[in-house]
Amino acid sequence: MKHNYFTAFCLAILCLILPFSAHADIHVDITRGVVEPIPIAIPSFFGASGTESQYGRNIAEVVSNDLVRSGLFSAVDSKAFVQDGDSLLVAPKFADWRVLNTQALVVGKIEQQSDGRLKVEFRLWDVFAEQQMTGLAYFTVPNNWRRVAHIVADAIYKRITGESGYFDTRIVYISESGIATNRMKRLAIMDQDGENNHVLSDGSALVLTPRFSPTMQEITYMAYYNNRPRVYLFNIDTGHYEVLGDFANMTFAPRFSPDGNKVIFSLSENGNSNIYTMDLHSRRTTQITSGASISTAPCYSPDGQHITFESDRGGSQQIYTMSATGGNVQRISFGEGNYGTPVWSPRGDLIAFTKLHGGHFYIGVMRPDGSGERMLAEAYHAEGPTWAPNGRVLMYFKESPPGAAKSTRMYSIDLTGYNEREVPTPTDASDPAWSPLLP
Amino acid sequence: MNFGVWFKTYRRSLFKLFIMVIFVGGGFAQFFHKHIQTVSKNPWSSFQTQIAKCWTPLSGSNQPKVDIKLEVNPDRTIQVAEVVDKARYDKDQSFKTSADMAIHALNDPACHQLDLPLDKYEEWKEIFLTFDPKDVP
Repeated sequence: MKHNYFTAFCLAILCLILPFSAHADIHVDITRGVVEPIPIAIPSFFGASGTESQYGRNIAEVVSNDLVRSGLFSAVDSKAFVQDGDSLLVAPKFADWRVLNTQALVVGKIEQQSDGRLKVEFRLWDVFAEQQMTGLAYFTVPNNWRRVAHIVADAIYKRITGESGYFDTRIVYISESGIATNRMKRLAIMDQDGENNHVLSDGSALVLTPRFSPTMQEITYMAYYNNRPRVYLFNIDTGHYEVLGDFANMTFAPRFSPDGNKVIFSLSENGNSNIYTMDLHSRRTTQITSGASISTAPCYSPDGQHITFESDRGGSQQIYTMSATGGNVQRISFGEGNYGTPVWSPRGDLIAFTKLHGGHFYIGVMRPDGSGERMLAEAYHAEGPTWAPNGRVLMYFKESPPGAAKSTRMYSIDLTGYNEREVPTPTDASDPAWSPLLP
Repeated sequence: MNFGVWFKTYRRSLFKLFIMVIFVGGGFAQFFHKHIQTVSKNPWSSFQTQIAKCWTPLSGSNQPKVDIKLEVNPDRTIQVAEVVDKARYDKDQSFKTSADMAIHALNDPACHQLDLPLDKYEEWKEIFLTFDPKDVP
């Protein structure tokens, strides 16, 4: 017994002394940093011939524009560059680049192969550490150079930020033209940077709310062909389109399921609307909501287990979530005003929405349980948020107040609410939908 | 009951109470020690500010925090900067990116010579830095 007391006594003394004896290390927490774009230098990719040099200049420019537009990078002024593409391939003079406050350096080379294809290779250097961060090479046909540039930009973005890029993507949207009383709305598609613009419909019918399939082969949208509002499927590769199902009443607000096997949409009946799904293989329709209210704008969670939608079932237009089969309906928006067009983030952590309050429209985000609501953009009329595939950037459209200079333009904004930028389009544009990364 | 008899009767209970007091005291000591350490960080606040100015964490993302062990030369330059959790660095891409950003900060020329009190080398020759973006907007 005495021995036990002695042991306990010793342990107790040790317990008292130990914390002070381990005092040798210094621990310092760094919880704040400098939140500003990372300076990156992207000299023209080296090409031995005139043609290769031209491709090298073009690719470097597209890569630079992609990264700068993200708001996370700033391009070091090319006039200050201390080395050209040729000498960079031998060895970058890091000390000289550091003087320009360059943190990352991209060195690339273009070589035309005997079969006519281009070999595009690049290395990303950490200028401070003087170490290569990544290096890749791609082969492509010459007229695909722009896409390779986006792929290079994605690789650089991912290596530095740790997040997937979103530059090798496309936007489908509604191209608008004509006077307000006779507005022509056509389906159009372009690269995310506004290049390679193509109009997909002839303008004979009003087209609204296009949405990309996750498999990239198809778009679903609502159109008024022969003045009958219906949901359609459109194959981008073949140009073939078909009406989705044979319903007596209006179908609208379509969106693909995350696996691309179903389309979820709204069906109008007797002044109300409810949410349905259609299996694209069996063409079987399933009713998800029921009741004498308007439930619309459905969107799946990325895992396909839940659906968010807007409804006036509680007396005003609000956002709800439910299981994919329609159970466990929960209202998640409780702020002032009306809420609509909820879109689940590809990361699954946020839902973007449109809010109308005090005569103004807002684009905002909240968590799927309704907490953490914050507004990212405000306008006379702003609507139609769509997520970049990495869940970091949103695109939407803003309409200016009626007047002589009335316009409808698309904008992108970072999830933090900074870096709002207009997306260049040849005409007025609305209802953007962002594609996944191209396969 | 005189004190001798009382002590003899309750000596075991008293001893147990004494041990308990020491254990609880030890816990409190650890708690206060931690806080005393936090307060004692004040001498390193300029160092903290210097490193923060070299660190460009990614705003708007949930990057994991990273511990870096620094070995510092007497002239206040960094001898070695290494990620403490090497196993996670090799298998967790998000952690790797955060760790690379932390190491990148320590390679910044503005952090080449650390803002540390010259007369306390024995204290700062080894420093553990935690890069935690909890206050990054």
